[in-house]
Amino acid sequence: MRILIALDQNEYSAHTLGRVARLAENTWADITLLGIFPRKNDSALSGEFAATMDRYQKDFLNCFDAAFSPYGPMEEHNAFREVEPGVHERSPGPGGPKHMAVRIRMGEPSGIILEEAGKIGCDLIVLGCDARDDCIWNPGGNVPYRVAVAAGCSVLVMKKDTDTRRILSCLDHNEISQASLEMISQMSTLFTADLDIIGLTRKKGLKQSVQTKLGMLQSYYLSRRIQPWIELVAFSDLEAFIAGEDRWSLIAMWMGKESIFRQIFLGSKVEKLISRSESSVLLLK
Amino acid sequence: MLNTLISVNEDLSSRFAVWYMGQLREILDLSVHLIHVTEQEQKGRPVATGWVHKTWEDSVLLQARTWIDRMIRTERIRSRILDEPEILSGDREALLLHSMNLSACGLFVEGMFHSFRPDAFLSRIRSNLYKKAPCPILMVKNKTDLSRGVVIVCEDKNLEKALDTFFCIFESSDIRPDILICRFDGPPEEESRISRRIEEIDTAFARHKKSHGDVKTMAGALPSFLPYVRDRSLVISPFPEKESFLENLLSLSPCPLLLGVQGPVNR
Repeated sequence: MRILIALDQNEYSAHTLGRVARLAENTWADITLLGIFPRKNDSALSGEFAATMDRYQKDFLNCFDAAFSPYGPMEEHNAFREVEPGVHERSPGPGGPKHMAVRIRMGEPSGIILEEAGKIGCDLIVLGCDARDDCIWNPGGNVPYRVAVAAGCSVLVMKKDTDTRRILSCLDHNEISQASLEMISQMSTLFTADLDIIGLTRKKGLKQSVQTKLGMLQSYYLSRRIQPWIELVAFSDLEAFIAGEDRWSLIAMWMGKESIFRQIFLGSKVEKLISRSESSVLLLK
Repeated sequence: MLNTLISVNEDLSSRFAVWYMGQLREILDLSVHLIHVTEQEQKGRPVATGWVHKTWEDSVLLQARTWIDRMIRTERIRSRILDEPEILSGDREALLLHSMNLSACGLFVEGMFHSFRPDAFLSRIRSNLYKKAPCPILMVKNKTDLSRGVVIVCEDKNLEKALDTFFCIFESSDIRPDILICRFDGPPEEESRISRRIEEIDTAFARHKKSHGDVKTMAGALPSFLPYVRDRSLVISPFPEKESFLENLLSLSPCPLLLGVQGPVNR
């Protein structure tokens, strides 16, 4: 698994590191810490931003017991060097078993994040934001939304911790992938949360095939010591159901090409979900 | 031993019920019987007549027996239900009530899905089956193990009934339930009244040589009560009055729900 963590200088970015470190520990993921500095390509690297990235890397590595860390230690005097115009990189130190890259790029954040994600072929992009500011990056605007919609891989938009310990899982029961089940399982462990699983109903009630899938999902999560709570929601009530409640620490939604949730939530509704909801949002693809 | 009757249908919620009873059997001395009632034909013309009709009926029963057997096999490891299920055809409510009375049933169990809209829940607890049931009813809305704790939820006026329901089923267990008294009439600072209620609870538990967990009395809007009826292994309540605060609250809980008796008790 490859995870790209997109970071700027704000507190919401720092906040993502602890959680993602646990995810990385559980999945033994290759990590890229990507710092984006909103300046033109040809600008010199800001010393202050480089120092911030130093701190991020230290904070991330400090989440691991050094003896068992999948990543190598941070080396002293390993300065960033420009590898391409506007792209600064720290050479990877003597490594642990998994790879960790630290890069700084300058320019418009969402474009850079998408480009880097495509280049390294990552499975998950993680970015933080603050729900109190409508989840916009400062500067940069609605970067989380733009990345979430355009990315070819899953995107986790992380907000400040809440006391709630529940994850809402909106999976399209015709299109469940093993990767998305695993991802939700990991998130449940990370957030030490129970799972609310939606069963979508139409006029004729819950289809037998969906019941079978829900039963399988339930057994899958119970066997991993995760408590799944199944709740039926009529197709026509779905938006109200998600918008009306702030009881989840994370809303995970399957947004593959064929997904029913993609059809319902495409466009402005995803933007609303990301910007207005107090919950973190994981869009699975 | 407590005689229990589980009504099963060919759906996932019945699996919840069978599975959950397996959990309860770990802590209670239960006899578990399964029953499935195939609904009568829709009004209008019957499906053929004579031997054709009989063959059709037999095939429906065989089909029902096959999937019930499959369900029991799947959930059996936990539930240890060894009895042969009973399969009947006819008026569901009448047959289930008849079976409850005939078997001196002490607990009627069925599964149901928890829904965002409470309509299905409300129509079920307002049904004749529930109103006339001679024993407490356990509605299993999800699979959850018993480690999450039990809460008794009631209003001030029906505290005694709620405690009765608990003792009626869990007399032999060492479960220590929390107790939530909703919409305490009068100002919340009326401490003497609250203390009196707590004394009553203590006395009732002492009489049964049992102990309870936290006791909480709360007034306020419905959403503030929700955290107390989520994430629980079981919510126990007296049978709620139609359109009452309690009925609304229970409709929002995704947890298994034990309801007290509305009609005369089967003892």
